[in-house]
Amino acid sequence: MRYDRENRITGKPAVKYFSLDRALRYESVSSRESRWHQAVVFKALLMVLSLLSLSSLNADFYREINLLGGYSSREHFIDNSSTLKNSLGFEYFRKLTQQQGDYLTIDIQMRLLYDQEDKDHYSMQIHNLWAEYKPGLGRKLRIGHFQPVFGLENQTDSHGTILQTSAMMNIGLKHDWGIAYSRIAGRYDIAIAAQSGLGMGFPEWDNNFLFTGRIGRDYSDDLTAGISLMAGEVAVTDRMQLIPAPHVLRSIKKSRLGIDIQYSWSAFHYAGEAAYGKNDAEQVLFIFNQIDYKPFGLEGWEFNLQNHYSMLNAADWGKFNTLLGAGVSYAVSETVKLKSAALITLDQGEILDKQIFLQLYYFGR
Amino acid sequence: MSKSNIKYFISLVLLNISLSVLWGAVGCSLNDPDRDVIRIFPASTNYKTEYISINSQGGEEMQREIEARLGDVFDEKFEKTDVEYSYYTILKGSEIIGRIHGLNQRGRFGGMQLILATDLEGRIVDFYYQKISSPEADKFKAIEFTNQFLGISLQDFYENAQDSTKTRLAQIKDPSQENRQDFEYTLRGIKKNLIQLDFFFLNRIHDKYFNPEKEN
Repeated sequence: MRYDRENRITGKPAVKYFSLDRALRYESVSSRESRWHQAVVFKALLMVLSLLSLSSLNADFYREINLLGGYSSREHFIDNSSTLKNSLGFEYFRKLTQQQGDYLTIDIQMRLLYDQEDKDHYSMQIHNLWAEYKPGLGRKLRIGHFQPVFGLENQTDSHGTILQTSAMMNIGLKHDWGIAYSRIAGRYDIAIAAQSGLGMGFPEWDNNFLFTGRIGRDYSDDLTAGISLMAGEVAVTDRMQLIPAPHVLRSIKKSRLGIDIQYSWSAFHYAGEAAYGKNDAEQVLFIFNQIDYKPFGLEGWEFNLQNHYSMLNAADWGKFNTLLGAGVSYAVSETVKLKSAALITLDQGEILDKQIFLQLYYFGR
Repeated sequence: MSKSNIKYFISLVLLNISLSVLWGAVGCSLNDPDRDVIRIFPASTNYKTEYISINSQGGEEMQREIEARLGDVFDEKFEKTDVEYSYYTILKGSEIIGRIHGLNQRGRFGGMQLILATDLEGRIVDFYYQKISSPEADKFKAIEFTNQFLGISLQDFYENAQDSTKTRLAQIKDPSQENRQDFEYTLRGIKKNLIQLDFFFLNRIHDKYFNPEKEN
């Protein structure tokens, strides 16, 4: 028996389906599964607490605290953004070296999240979990869970920011399991990656895959640009987390050609990207722009403006979904930031939601 | 989920916030070390990364020794002694051919990151700002300014403190028109960077040029 689910993006039946049997089975055991998940996550919470306490003794550990709250015109009081929830996390980053120099880098970055609205309340996310072997200067071979090499996402740090690049809208995930190779060739950076197309968790594999590649160049200290390619069959899952395990809702065949650019001038920094290609049979277009401003007379303050345009049926030009964002942040210290952001979501000019957030973010030893 | 679990999560957050107050700062690392190493040392085959803090090398006593040589006290925000500085030892095969090391320095409009590449005697072979917030940042970042530091070592800084009219350092002019403070912060940051290199890697070979009575 097949569950004929409409593809939310194209408006047509999805190319991939998930089994109703499986869905019903999931429903019938959901409460028991939920209790089991809570127990697992709670034990994981204790484990991470121990790691965080030990981290004080180990210079390779970084601690992360993210406290977030806000108001939405559609959902009223909210405690999560599209990618962030209240969380405790850590990062373990270590370089291994020998007489001939560094040869291996390890990065583990995880979060434990709390969501009042989620039936499981607690969940665990994994962001980075990779080992990178260095066969020579300027060459790296990475294996594990990491960002695809497409567009701005792996050029910028959006780990703790409410304002995001277009990676989630465009690629559909920010990190994935796989293998990547990168090298420096003169002023160019070349990177390719083969990944699972499943994202953060270990959901059921449904012939998913994701190939990405990027050639970047720094034209000066202030100007960098890149061209990216992507082909894959990317899973759409019900949750972006490792535990409790997410479930695949459907898969989308994706192909993209993208360009990205970053330019710094005086107190301003501009980052932009555009990607054109196909979601299944439909042509799609994503455009993203962000300007950051750090005024010289206001140490620690940063102001951001961004917009996302996504055209999910490029044959019908003019039908844009838009996300407008504005942010203000103040660095209380090198490790603590207070941030706020406002987001407006529009569907062809009609406002769907208005959100405002306050965030306290700590990242340090 | 029970209220006790919510309270537990909140207590975890509070515990980690309090720990975070005790354990703080983040050091200065290269944004793209492979690219910088290839550019500055084209003959290199690899590099070794080490993270060194003043606390791990001598703590308060070493802080006082560095402050005496610097002629200034540490900035509470930018110069905590638990900050781990990244030192990149550049290799050609297994032979050491130089080092690259960065340092955070207060600037007039925010933090600077000053990156030095030095030879085995601690002479500067390259200097650049990885980060600088200034309306005249372009003037500070221009190679016409940064190249003037090539060949300079801690010896020049110590001798400059004794007689600031004849040294090579005295010939270097402020490139800005209205931000002399950032020029002075740059000189201070480079000097501190070289003192730490002398302490951590060079067995204080430049101490013979240091006259405690002349530093101010």
